[in-house]
Amino acid sequence: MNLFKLSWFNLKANALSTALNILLLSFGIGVIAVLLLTGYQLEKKLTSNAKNIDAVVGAKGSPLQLILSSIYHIDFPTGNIPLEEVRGLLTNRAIKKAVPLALGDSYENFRIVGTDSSFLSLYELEIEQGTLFSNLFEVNIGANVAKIKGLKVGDKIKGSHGLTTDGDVHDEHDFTISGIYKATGSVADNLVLTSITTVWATHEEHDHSDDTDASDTSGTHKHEEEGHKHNHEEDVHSGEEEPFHENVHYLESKRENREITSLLIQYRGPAAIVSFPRFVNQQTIMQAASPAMESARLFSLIGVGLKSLQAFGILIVIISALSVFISLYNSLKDRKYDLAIIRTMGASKLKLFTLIILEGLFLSAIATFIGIAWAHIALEWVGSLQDAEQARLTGLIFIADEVKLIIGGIVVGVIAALLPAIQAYKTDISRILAKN
Amino acid sequence: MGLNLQVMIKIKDVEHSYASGQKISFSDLEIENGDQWLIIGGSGKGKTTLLHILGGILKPTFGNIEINETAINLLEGSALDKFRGKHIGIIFQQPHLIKNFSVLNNVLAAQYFAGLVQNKNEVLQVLDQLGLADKANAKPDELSQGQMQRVAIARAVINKPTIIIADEPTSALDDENTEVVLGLLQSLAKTNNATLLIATHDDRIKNKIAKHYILN
Repeated sequence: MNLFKLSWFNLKANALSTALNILLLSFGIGVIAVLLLTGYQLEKKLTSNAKNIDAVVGAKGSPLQLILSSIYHIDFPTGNIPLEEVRGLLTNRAIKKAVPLALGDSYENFRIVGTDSSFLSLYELEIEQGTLFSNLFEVNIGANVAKIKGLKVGDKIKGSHGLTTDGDVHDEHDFTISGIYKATGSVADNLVLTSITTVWATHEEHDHSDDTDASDTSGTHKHEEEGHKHNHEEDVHSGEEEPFHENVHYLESKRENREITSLLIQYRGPAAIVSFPRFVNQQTIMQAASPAMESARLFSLIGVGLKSLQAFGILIVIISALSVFISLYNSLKDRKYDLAIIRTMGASKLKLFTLIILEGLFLSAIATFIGIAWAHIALEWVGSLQDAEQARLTGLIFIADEVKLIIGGIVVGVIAALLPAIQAYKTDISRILAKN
Repeated sequence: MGLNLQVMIKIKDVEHSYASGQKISFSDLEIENGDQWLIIGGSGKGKTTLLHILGGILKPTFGNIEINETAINLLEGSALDKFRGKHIGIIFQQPHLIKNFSVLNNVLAAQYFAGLVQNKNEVLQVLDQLGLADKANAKPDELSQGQMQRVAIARAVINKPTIIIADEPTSALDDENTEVVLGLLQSLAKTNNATLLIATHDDRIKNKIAKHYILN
């Protein structure tokens, strides 16, 4: 027999209202926890994936779309940029590093990215098994791709043309996995990397079917290759162009009208922050977009939504605090005689005060932990339903703000119990006992 | 006090005014250790008021109450609560047991709130004396009115109080239970060497206790 036991029994005695209060408070806490976790993960994904990239150069269009497609690998690219333009731009002294991207193909839900070895240093990628892609149709895969698909070095995968799985199934091509990267926690874990020449080659290969679909974003449609092991009866090109027998670096390509999707740029110094985008946007047919600016803009848009949902969660918490208050207050009315008897047995006023506070504390502590628990379960569940590997949410991380939420939730319970507790403290036991 | 046995309760010049302005004066009384008294009076004559004053539940507007040579009208706050828990056992018209607690826990609660060591064996022994040995784990709503009142008695006597006060303990009981409960109260008071005070207007018990303190 002690105060904990007594308050616990009192809660049990009012099982229905206790359950309702726990449900309500845990729901409010859970909503806030989900939003905290989501906001944290989105912001972290947005900033960590863009941390080494000062600018993205690509085809003109929406700068946000360019950032989304080239850095976060969601949304579609804005178009392609001609290789001659790229060659010209690369002479710019403001550029310290330029990582080329050729996008447009995918393997299941994972995007295939044509690039070169500079991508590895940009994303701090290291080979865990195997070697860097060096021959045509060799690919490296990120840690998540390997884990989810159960792939190992030497396996063959089928890439398809287009960025969604429901794309053209017949436009498939075999790739050989030559290497698997260590996990980095960045978007690179969910990518399939290969050389730009390979991307070009796969398109050459299926373009022989006269497919000149203009929406094809990695478009090299008008080129066909007689050096390839296909039947090219209808070839319009002559053999003066380089054959895809070997994997030459994309900048050494001698063919005309070659295109890539975008360049990830690192500046040599801060002076370029203003001058470089202005130069690109005004002097070339390309555009330069700043990931920092665009993701800040994006997050401020999402942030408004998160904030208003958070206000909703806080509202539920306040309502549940009110409900806890009303239940305690009502149950106090029911058992004021019992409490008076407890006083006659020798309990001090402070003990009764503590008893009621403990009830609020128990209730809110249970509700808070249930709320946090279901927030994590819900988020993990949502994550498991998400298609886009790159933006997948997880319920398996815990953040510092949750500690504040736990403390806040418990404090709410104590505050709700405060008035009833004061009421119990001030009870005139003689008057209650006399009113028999 | 002179040749008398030890005086356990002393009522001197006690007056109480209610919020309504009504005033009651109580005649002086000294009760010896181990004595058994009835406080008799119709409703509104101040029986409950006097018991509350004696039990340290209510402070009199005027006068002195000494229990075992302690002036309880001068005790404040938790000192008074502690004194009450240790020295006074109170029984009410309704047993008011904590409804989700077993009989055992209800009696243990009295030890806990008085700040004493909780002793299960002691509780079981008292329950046995009251004929409730087999009800230790029962919940109050499984008991009859008479049984509940006996649990209330167990709760009042478990801490071996020097005085036991009871406010209309039999008014809710039938004749048979009235006899049993009164008998138990008297014998437990005797074995514990406690002074017993019963406020009542129940004619069934008036001739069972000789000493009457009449309010009018």
